[in-house]
Amino acid sequence: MTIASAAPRPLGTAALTTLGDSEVVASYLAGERRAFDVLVDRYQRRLINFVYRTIGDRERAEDLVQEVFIRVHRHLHRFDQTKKFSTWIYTIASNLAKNELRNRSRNPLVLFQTIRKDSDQDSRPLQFEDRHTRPDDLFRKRHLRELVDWAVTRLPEHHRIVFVLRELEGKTYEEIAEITDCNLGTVKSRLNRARARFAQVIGPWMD
Amino acid sequence: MTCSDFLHAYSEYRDGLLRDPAAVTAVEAHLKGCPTCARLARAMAIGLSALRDTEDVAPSRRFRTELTHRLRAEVAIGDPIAPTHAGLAAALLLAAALGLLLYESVVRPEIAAVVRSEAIPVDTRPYAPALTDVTLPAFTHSALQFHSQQIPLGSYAAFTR
Ligand SMILES: [Zn+2]
Repeated sequence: MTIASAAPRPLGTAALTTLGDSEVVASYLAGERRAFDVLVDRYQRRLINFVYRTIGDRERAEDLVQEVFIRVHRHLHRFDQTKKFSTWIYTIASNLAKNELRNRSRNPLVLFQTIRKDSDQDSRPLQFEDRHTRPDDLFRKRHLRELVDWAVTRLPEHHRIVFVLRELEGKTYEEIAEITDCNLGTVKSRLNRARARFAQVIGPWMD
Repeated sequence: MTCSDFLHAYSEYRDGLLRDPAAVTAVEAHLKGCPTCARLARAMAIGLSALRDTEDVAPSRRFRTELTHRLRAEVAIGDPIAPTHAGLAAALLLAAALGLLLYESVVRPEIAAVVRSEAIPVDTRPYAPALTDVTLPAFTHSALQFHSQQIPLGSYAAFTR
């Protein structure tokens, strides 16, 4: 066998796209630069939607997802390849989204626009809310899609991240726990509260 | 089961994670007998279904263009291999130049006197005839070439092959 024939043949882009995440990552780390494009192709849309649903600002979501890929690029060589890549990249995105929400909550204007600060939501007992507490301008927003979008923005920050990961990204409880660095009990509790709150917000328009 | 108990159990019930058959039966019985909780469960089901049906937003053209530029810039300054080698090459170059100057000052003091009378020559040949064999610019060039091989400067993937 010649040295030339022993050298690994570069995969075509089409072949790269058929590989699993861990193989694409390994391929990139082995010097196949195009593999990073495959990761971007694979995750850009999902992450933009995840961050957009979480922070409610599409343009900013794109900025943050760019930052996600920059960080992935910088730290990929340190990524533990025995772990799931999707969990890792969602963790980075989730942390950036969380920081964004925190920064926004510190902004007096945004704080004023935020209906409820969520720091004490975990300890509050679950109960039905007053069905008549609905903003006047939302009477006009009959469309279900607008309504559910709006309802997501009404969820407290850490409940919203869990809610979006479960309802829109289809993550398991275990994955959510890893992404958000919480235990399973906290994930269950936050998801439960988020769903109940979501249903309570849209409930008055369902009758 | 109270409404509060129901609210605490319903999320896990929805996901099929309520393992205790008695708890499942209690949730279902409450759902049948309590219009308030039944209304909430209905709102949740319709709302979550509508949410999942909302269309994804597609990445804008700006997104990929900017990301490509940013990644290109990252690669240009951040390749963990190339800068280390370039730095090593520069250090070797400096050491070689200083060594030659020292050699010239001992073996050929008349040239060293010329060298000392000017700024340390790096790329101005007339004042450093003894350095012509070092091919300093070529060495630098080769270091840069190595650098450019490691660092794709075009489309993130396209310039790497
Ligand atoms: Zn009830």
